[in-house]
Amino acid sequence: MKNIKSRLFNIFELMLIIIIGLSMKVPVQEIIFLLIIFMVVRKNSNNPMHYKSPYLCMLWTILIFTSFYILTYVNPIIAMLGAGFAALVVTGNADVNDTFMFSNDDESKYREMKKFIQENRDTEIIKEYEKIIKILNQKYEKRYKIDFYKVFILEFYERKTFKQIIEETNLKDNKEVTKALDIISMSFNTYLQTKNEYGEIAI
Amino acid sequence: MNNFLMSFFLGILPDVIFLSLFIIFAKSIKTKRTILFILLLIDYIATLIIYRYQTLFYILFIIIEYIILKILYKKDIELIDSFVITFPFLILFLTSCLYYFLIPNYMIACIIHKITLLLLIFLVKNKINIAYKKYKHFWNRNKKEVRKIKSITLRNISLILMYIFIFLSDLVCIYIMNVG
Repeated sequence: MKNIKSRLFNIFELMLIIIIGLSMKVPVQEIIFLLIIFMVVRKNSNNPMHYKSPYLCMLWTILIFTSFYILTYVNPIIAMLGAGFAALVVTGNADVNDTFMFSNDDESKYREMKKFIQENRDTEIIKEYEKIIKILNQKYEKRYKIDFYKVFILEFYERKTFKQIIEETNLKDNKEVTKALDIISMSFNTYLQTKNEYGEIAI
Repeated sequence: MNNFLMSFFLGILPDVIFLSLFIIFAKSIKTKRTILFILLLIDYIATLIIYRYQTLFYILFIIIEYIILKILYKKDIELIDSFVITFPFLILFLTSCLYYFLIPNYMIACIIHKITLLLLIFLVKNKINIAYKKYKHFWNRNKKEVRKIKSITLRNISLILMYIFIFLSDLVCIYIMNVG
């Protein structure tokens, strides 16, 4: 029964989309092409996204299709390409890989340091620390086999993931990245403690 | 020749500087900035020669810009960045329309427009990156967190805005072609 209801709702939604297209004077064949392209791309994409509420789903589908219809005034081919692109964007294929920067940062061991550097970027205190880490690098790079300066830049300026840091440095695994970051964060904390006005960053 | 120089220094060059700076500030790009700028300049001129005053100019430029970024920065460029590329175009387009209708003298309008745009981008350069990170943060689904906007809604809004921009740019291109 629930299935029949949902099927009826889908048919109603489809009818509504077609009626809107016709009322906007979009040729029937273009409406059909847009529907087919959108459905086929979405069906064949990885992990399509859905709304929990069917009404919300209907509302946004109508809005999206209205924008395709508007595009047909420019060029039907562009509208069809737009439909394919839209179908792809509302699936897992468009997900950002290194996402949840902020939420992950809440659990990150170096979150306070990241936040501090983010807020004080391009200030004298950070520039001065850059010089310190360069000296640290000169002295200990050979012993620890870690380019501290590069790891510092990748982690705190470019906010790369551990995986990306491993790819861009000679570090072998997450353990080595953590080791490098521990040394950097301890040196940073020590540096900050010498600057009384900035206090201490919990690490 | 004079016309080309004027259009280069008052139109192409400031536009490309604005578009490159926007993406550089948004994504905090630290490497290959000069090559990015040069490639975007070539892209802009080539696309302009092919599709002058046509909507296809915007579409083609955005597609080529995305490809350039993908080649230069590989994994760091994802589908979300196609919207980040479109956004400065939207600003460029809306402000140029505004100045065009507000200031009757085209040359003065053009100069003021470009100067204000470049000044503005330097004034808000840190905010662009923060806004980009927030946009990126809301882009993926996250069931653990209660959010003001759903990921799918954000994507739908971005798409609709992009398509409306294409449509509006088409209207303006037709208007310019008719007015001359």
